[in-house]
Amino acid sequence: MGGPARVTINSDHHNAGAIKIAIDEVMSRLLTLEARYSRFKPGSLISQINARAGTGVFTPIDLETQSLIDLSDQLWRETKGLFDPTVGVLNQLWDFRTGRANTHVQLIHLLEKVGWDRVEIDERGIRLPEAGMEIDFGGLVKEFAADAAAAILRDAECQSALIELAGDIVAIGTEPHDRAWQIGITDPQAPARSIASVQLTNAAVCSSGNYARRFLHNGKLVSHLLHPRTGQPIDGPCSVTVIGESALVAGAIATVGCLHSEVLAESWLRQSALPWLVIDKHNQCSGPLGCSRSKP
Amino acid sequence: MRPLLARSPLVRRLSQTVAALPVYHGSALADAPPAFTEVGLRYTQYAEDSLADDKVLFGSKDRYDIDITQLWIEAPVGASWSIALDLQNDYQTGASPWFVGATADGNPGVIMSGASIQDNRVEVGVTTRYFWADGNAGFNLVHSKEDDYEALAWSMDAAWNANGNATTWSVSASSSHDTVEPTQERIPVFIDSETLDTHSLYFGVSQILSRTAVVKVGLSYTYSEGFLSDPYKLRDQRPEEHHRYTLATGLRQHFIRLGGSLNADYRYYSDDWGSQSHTVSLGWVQPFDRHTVNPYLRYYSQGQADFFSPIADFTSDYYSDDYRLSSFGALTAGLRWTLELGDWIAEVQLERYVSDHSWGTFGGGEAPALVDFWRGTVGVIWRFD
Repeated sequence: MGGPARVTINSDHHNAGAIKIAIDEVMSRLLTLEARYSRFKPGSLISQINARAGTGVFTPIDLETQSLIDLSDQLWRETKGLFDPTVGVLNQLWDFRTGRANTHVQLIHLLEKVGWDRVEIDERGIRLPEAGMEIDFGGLVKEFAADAAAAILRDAECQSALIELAGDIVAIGTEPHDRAWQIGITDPQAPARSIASVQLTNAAVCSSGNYARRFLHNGKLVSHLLHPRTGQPIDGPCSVTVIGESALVAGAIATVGCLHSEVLAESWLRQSALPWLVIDKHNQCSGPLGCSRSKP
Repeated sequence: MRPLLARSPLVRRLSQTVAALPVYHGSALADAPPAFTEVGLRYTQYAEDSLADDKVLFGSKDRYDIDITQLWIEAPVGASWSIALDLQNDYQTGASPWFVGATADGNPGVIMSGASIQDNRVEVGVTTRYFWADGNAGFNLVHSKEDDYEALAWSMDAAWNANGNATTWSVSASSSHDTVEPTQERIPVFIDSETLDTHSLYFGVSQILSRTAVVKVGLSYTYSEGFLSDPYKLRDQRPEEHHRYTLATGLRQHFIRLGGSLNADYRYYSDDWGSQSHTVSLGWVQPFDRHTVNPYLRYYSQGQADFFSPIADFTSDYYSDDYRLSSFGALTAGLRWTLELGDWIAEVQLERYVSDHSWGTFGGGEAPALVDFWRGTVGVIWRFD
C-alpha cells in the first residue's frame, strides 16, 4: 500500500502468546490485502481486472471485494461522481513535475476511459468495458486494512493497541493507566511536525492530504487529485482529518473531503456529523477538532 | 457513548455497504441499537367491496371500512438498549355476514348484520430491546381495547448471529389473554363474557448463501384455548382448543446488474380443525436514487375447516358458515413506494385483494360472502439524532 505500517501493543504476560500469534496474523493480513488490491502488483486482483479491460471477460469477486465496490458505488452516488475509482487513468495526462498537461486530444481520449457508471458488475463479477480503463481502490483499502488489523487484535482479546498505516490510525482501548491515545495530526507545511493533537479511545482517525504531491499549475499550487469529468486538478484543502468508529468510513469521508473545494469540503464534512479538521492551503485550520492555527 | 459511526444518514449509508464484512462484526455495524430516534405516522384505509346482489338475502350489501392510524417512536437508550412505543387506533364501520341461509333456488345467501356496527379499537404497545455484539433480545407488551373486546399480550424474542454472522438464529415466545363481552345491537348475541388464551412459539434461522442471496426458514406453533367462536355470527360453534402450525421459507436474491432484489416466500399452514393453506409471495425491491419501488404479488389457497359448510349444519358438535373458514383462493397485488429525503422518509402503498372459491387448490363448499378489498397507506417517518 506504499506507506509505513506500525502496530503498538500494550500486553501483559497472560495473553502474550495469543498476541504474538495475532501479530503474525496481522502481518499476513496486511500483505494479503496489498497483494490483492495493489494496482502496482501484476498478480493482484485489481491488475487482473484492469488487464481484462475491453476483453469482455468478467473477473469473479468475493464478498470482501463486493463490499468495497458497494462502498465505492455509494461514494460515487453521494458525490455525484466526484469520487470515481476509475479516475486514475487521467494521471497520464499530467506531467506533475512541470505542472503541464499533455494535449487536448489526449484529454478527450482519456476522459472517455473514466466513468464508474460504465463499470459492469453483476453475478459473474466485474468487467471494465473499454481497453485502457482502470480501477483503483487504493483510496479505501489502506483504511480497510487498518480495520482488519484491529479486528484481528480485538479477536485476540488485545485491550490496548494502536495500528498506524501511514495517515490512518485505529486505537484499541487506551494507553496504560487509562489515558487516551494521543495522536498528532501532520502539519502540511512541515510534515515532520504536528499541527494538532487528538485523543483517541476505541476509534479511528484518518487523514487524507495532497500536501506531499501538490504541483504548480498556472501559478497556483494545486492538488494532484484530478476531477473525473474535466481532468483538471482539484483546488481542494491541503489536508482533511476525520474521526470515526471505523477507519474505512472515516477515511472515505476524509478522502472525499479532499476532492471538494475548500468551501464544499466543509459542507460535506458537516453532513457526516463526525469530528473533523480541515487545513487549507494557507495552513489554517477549521472544524470541530481545532488546532493552534484555527481560523478566527 | 453512542457509536460514532452511526451519527448521520451519510455515515449510516456508507456503513451499511460494508456491514456484511466480518471485520465489522462485533462493532457498531453489528447488532446495535438504532442510531436515531425514529418517529413515524401512518394512516391506512381498508375498504371491503360490497357484496353482489345475488349473494345477499337480507341486509346491507356494504361491508367493513376501517381507518387505521399508527404512531410510533423508537429511540436508543444508552449504548445497548432501545425502547419503542406504538399507538394504533382503528375505527371500523359497516356490516358483516350474520349467517348464511338458502335462496329460493337453494343456493346459499347471506343475511347481513345491518350497517349498524361502529367500533373503535385503541392499542398501545411498548417494546424494549437489548443489543450485544452478536445479537439482540426484546420484550414487548401490548394492550388493546375496544367496546366489546380487550386483549393483553406479551412477547419475548431473541436473535443471535453465528458462523461469522452468516447465520442468524431466532426464537420467540408470546402469550395473550383476551376477553370478549359482545354488545347487543341489532343482532342477538348469546354470551355475556368469555375469555381466550393464546400461546405461541417460533424458531427460525436465516443463512447468507452468497454475496447476493439469503434464505430463511421458520417454524411456529400456536395454541389457543377458550372462546374461539364469533359471537356476532348466529351459526358459529367452534372447538375450544386450536392448535396451529406454520412453516415459512424465504429467499432474498439481489441482482447486482439490475440493482434490485427479488423476495420470494412460501408459507404452509395447518391446524387441528382440518384447515391448511399455502401462501406464495413474490416481490421486487428496486431502488432508484432516493426512491424505492416495491411491487408484489401474493397467492393464497386455503382448505376449509372440518366443521365448515356453506349453510351451517346444526347436527354436528361444531359448525360454522364463516367464509373465513371455507376453501378459497386469493390474489393480492400491491405496490409500495418510499422516498428518502434527508432525515425524512415518505411512503405510499396501495394493495388490492381479491378472492374466489374456484381459485383455491382444495376442495370444499363455496362460501357466498368471500371478501375483496382495497387497502391504501400513506406514512411519514422522521429520524433525528
